[in-house]
Amino acid sequence: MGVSGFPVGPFDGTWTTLFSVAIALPITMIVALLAALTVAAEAAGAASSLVRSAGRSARAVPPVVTGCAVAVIAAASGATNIVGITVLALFIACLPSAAATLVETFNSRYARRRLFAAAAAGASPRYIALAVHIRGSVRLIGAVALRTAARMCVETAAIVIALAGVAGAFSGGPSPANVEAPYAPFAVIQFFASAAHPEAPIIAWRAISLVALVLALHAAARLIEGEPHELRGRA
Amino acid sequence: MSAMRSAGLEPKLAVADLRVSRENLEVLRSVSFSLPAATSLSFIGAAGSGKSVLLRALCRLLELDPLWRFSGSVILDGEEILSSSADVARVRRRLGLVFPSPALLPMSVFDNVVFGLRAMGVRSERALEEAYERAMRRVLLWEPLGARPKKLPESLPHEMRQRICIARAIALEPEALLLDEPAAGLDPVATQVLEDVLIRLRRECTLIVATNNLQQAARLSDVTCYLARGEVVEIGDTPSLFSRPSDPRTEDFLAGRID
Repeated sequence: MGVSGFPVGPFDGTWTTLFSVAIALPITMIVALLAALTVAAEAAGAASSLVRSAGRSARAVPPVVTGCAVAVIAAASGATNIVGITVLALFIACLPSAAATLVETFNSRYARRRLFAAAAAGASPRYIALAVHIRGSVRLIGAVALRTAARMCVETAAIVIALAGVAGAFSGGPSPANVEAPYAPFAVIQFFASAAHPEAPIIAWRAISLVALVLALHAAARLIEGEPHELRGRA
Repeated sequence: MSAMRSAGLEPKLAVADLRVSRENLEVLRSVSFSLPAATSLSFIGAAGSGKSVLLRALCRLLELDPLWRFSGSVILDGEEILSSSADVARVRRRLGLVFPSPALLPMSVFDNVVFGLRAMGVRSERALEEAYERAMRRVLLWEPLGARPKKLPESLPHEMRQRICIARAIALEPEALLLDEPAAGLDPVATQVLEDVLIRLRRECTLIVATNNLQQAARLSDVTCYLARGEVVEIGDTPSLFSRPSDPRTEDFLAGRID
């Protein structure tokens, strides 16, 4: 997005985004899945309560804010690996919402009924997690993954702007990362007006491709989510 | 049952001072009863009397929700099953619970029926197929559905789905089968079919049924227990309890006189 260290080709930024999301998504989904299964199976007692309260607290802060804060702190601490910083920020920003959505999925009325049925048949919490929750919610888990990927793409754009701001601040250029609220909008306008103007077509192209990608991911999520298992086969 | 005790026979199931509460609300208050082997028992009582909670407490399903608290003693064949050292999964296999509405798992009919066996580690396809056939024959579904029905269980009628759930429970050869309103939502014909299955099953294992249907309790059980507000009001041989209840509250309930 027009700052030193960032690619300037029309697709380079997209590839960086996709690369970061490709690394952050599986990590986020695995951790979110484990957290949600812990809550759903009530398998770990205190751990379950911890995940619930952590989820509630984390959701109180908008993910964009969390992601930007993580990225700015990491960059200000001297980290230079852009992809690494982005992956860390995406993971921390998107984990609460992904985990919370999966918790809701596994605590739905049908999922609770399946849990009780499986437990009544003498299945252990681990067996229930694998054979019932995951198997019964494969499509929903896939949809959550796609929505999380879409969210990550959007978060990446925000984080990249924040990182660009930090870079701009250190190089003495205009910075959109000026967090003093009254000045922030002016700083952003000034930044794009002065620094990024020559690259406006590229930025516009990236914005369009980002929006298209996010819409496509949401459409794919709706498609694979389909009809709940319990309703399939009914007249 | 006291006669059984004096004859020196150990009861199949002995419940003593069972108390269950949720968020400081006492749902079961000092429930105590014992049940001889090869005897079927029905719990009757108004909605909210604690019948379903009692069945879930017996097979330790309340532990899936940390808000429930319980204390007391439940002895199955001489073994305390409420203690923290008891193997909960094994307790649940020994006391198979069937829910009011068919709780099918998101898998085929075959996989549903052998689910508990797979969960306990049975891997032999032949053993699973044999257990499946045995269970399906006992619930009279072998003829209509066969070995590997192609239909999704969700597409089957409500009553058949409930029998699949019973098959899943009895595939584990439980010592007692706990049925919570097994005919809820069924029409009289489907109820009759289900009761025929249960009458056959009561010859093979102990049945414990929670029901609002007094006629069903009379048809299915040797012993009936009337629960009100989480307390055992009266327990006795089914014909005696229905014809000559000893407690006026039982008499009022049977006559439909409820406060």
